[in-house]
Amino acid sequence: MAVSTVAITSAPARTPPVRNPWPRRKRKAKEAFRYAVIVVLCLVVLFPVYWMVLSTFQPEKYTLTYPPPFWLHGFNTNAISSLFNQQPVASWLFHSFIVSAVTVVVTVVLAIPGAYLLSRLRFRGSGAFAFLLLFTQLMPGAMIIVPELEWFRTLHWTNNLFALGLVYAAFNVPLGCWILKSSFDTVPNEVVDAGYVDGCTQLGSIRRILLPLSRSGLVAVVIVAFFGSWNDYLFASAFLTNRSLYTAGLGIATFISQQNVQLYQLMAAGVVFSLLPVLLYVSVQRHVARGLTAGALK
Amino acid sequence: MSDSNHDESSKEDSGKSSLSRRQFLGASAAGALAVGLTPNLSKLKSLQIRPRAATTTLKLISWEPFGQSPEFPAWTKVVNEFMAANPTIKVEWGGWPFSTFDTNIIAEAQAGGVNADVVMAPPEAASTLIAKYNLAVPLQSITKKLGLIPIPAHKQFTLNGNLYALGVIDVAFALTYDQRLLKAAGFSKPPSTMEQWLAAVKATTKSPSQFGASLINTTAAQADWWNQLQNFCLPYGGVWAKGTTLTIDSPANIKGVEYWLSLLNASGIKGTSETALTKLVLSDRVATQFNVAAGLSNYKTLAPKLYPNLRSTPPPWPSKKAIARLHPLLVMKSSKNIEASMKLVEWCVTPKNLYYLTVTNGYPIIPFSNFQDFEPGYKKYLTNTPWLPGFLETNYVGEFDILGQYTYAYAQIGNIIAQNLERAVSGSASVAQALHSAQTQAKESLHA
Amino acid sequence: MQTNLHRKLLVPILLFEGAFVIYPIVRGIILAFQQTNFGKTSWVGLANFRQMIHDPIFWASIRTTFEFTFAMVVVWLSLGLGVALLTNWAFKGRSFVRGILAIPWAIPDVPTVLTFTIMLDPNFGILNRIASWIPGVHHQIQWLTAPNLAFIAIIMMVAWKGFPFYSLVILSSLQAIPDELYEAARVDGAGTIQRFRSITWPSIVPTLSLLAVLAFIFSFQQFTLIYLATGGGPGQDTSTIAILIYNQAFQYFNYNYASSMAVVGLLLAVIGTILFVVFERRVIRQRYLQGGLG
Repeated sequence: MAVSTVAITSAPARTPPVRNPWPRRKRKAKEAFRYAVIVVLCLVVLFPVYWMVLSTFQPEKYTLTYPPPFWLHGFNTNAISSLFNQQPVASWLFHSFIVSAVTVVVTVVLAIPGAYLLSRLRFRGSGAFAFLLLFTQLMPGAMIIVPELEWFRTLHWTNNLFALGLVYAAFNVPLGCWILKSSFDTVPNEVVDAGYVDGCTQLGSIRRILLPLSRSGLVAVVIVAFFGSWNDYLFASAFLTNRSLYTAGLGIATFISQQNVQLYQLMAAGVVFSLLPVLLYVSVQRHVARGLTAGALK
Repeated sequence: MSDSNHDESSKEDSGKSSLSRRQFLGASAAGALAVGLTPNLSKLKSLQIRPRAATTTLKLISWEPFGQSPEFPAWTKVVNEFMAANPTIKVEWGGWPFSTFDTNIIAEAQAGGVNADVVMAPPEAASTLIAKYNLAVPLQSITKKLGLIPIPAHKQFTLNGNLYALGVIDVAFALTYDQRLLKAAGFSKPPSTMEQWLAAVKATTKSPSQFGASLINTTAAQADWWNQLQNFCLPYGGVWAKGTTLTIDSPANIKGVEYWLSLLNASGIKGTSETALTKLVLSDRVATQFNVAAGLSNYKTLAPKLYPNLRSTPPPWPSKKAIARLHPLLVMKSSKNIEASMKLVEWCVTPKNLYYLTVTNGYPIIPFSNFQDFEPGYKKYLTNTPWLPGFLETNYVGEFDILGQYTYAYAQIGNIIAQNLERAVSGSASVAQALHSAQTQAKESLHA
Repeated sequence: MQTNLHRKLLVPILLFEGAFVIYPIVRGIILAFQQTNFGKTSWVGLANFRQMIHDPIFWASIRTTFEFTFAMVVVWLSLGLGVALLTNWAFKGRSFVRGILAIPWAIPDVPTVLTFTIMLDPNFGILNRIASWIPGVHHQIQWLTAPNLAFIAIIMMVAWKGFPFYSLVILSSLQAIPDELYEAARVDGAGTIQRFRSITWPSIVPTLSLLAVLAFIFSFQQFTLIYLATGGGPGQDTSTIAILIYNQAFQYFNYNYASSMAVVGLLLAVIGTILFVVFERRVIRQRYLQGGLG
């Protein structure tokens, strides 16, 4: 499929002369086909999301039946309302938001110099630095928890949302460096050099030239860091033993095995939990696409 | 080590735990200040002696505050009464939900000790804290003082003649059923033989609206699958291991698990997730369950349609044997307040309180064999709760009886058996083949 | 050339990463050579590694890990490439479509697993309803519990969750290709396949190779989705090394043994990454003369 769509998508189809008596119609047909494929693809990709929302609002007598109905047979808000009544979901979400905010800020603050190092400076050990960043991503998370917990207990940093944000940041800084590096890479040297001529220092060139030209890259870093911290529950469950500090990821993960939480409530929790990242993503979507690699800055 | 020198040994404990302890006391002092006009406040005034403050704060970790909410109020009441009786001791609850409890407590133990004074733990985690990390304090002085005789399942918590944990919740299995659904299918009496159970499951299965049994059978829920499945070595008198010898693929086990599989096949509900199974049970669509008593009293509110018809009967095999898993309380060696901690444990297992917990939360079995001598009402409670008698007629065995030394590898053996058995469930291998490869794998993985 | 600036910039990052990631990793490595018994920790040299050599479950998980990471690299990259190519033309509602196609990436792991578990349920799942339309399919397909199928179901789910990242990155590198190149090729009479081979492919290969490294790392680390969906079963079919390490450490309480497995996993990941990078430098960069990994 990949190869056949390549031609279609890389550029508008070439219209061969003479031989084809209905070039226009053929082109139209091709276009219609493309549209059809895109529509089918969107439907397939969105289906699980649809199903998640459907399961949340489907009246109870239609859940766990066969054949499962494709459409909503009523609108049951019981799941969402009982979820909010029985669990401190709002405070979970708030805690997740705080942790994610810390993660995002720290990640961005450290990824900027890191990306600059990778992109613009040549120094002894720069290869080692690049590899070190990659290395941080390679150890299975399950093995890091215990030493990290040991460390945080000596610092009295357990049950501390800020400290949890720092841990997530530590795992996202390397990714942030790589993403932002490729953004920095696309800024032509001449532009930066022109800045020096105007009296910019090296550091000043980051702030005045590189960052403004890499806004998409920054947005991508923010998104990646946000998703990373919003998603986690393994670290949160080790570091937060105080229920009143629970994050949403932790709260919902602990739902799964609880007898008194009904299936549709779980789905409702899933929807609520997904809402913020999806909204955030949709609102900055254009930047992310550009920022993940800096390619679009042609 | 003997009981008398706890205090000395705890003082010698690592700096780490004493630091956290100090932080702890600081927090409790702050808490006391916040409360304001407590009579003890004057004693707290001199901040230099904060570590020796009159109010002792104990951290009690458990899964009870999380999720199993119907059980928590009874525990809160008992602990609050303890605080009222001991005004200088304050107890703080902490912990994790049951599903992640083992993970988190082991992470803590490995990271330098469990940050708590008193711990409620599932049996395997308790054994591990005792035998592997040596974190617990002997507690036999408490039972001696109270005159209680611990049931044999306590063997799992005994090391070098010391008893390191006292059972408080005995999670016991029996066959529970919905008498309305059985009656509707023509069964006026509960199944008393294996053939009858199978027949009842077949007769009550009307897929996809109603199912004869809900047997956990997915590796995604392998801990709970194993929890239930471990009982099925018992129908033909098998065990999973004897002492240090693994007997996973013994003929008795193969026959027992084959019986389990025939129940599963007859139930018409293979491969469905545990959450969905629970939902089916709660909405009164399942006729029989192999279930634990703890939690059934929750059905009153969670499954109002099922609860009035819920009954129990012993496992329908001749021996009427089933597993009882003992969840105990432990006192951590690293505690700065071992004496107060032991007082709290003593309070919880004091017959009056244990009886209250048992009755309120519907635990059928009290893990001390001479318990009725203290609370004559116990027998009456058991016969008056309509879904309890079956549990009472069951002959209980502990994990040591069916797993021997492999009790310490409870979850690992369970995962190996569950993951292999999945092939038999999906029909790509026989039960004998699955158990045979489980035996081989377990042997190779567990013999270091 | 630069004298001091790089030091000033390096120090905060190195301190931060050193404290929160490198130090814990080193601690983890040390634990692999120790053993705790009755509260006493002692050095045991290579004993944990020796145990590993005789552990069939470990070897099975290594195999599963390779199969899984290989499958994910291929599936993620080809899905990403396919979707990127499909949406890389000027059509109405293009940014809407691109937004929709990226939503799975924004859905957290736990809700993803819950949804797929419901959809794939053999008795009540919508997927089996759809499958029943195919003539000849009439029994309840055990998506998450049957041998081989479970592996495929996991790949499906992980692919769904992760592909937007790859398609977004590939799409933006496609957009960086100057239109003039295609114009010129068209004037030269190059066909569509030819244009892809001579222009599109060489321009995105550096991106693809970087993505391959990331896909390798991300799938190597994949834990939550697999653990909650199948727990590693049936058999060892979906038990990657990340799952096995978690089980050994926190379910079987063999923390030191788990550490030694993690060290082997770390080594494999490092070797795998180095192979990718070397391949990227030697082959791809020489052929396509563009920067990828630094």
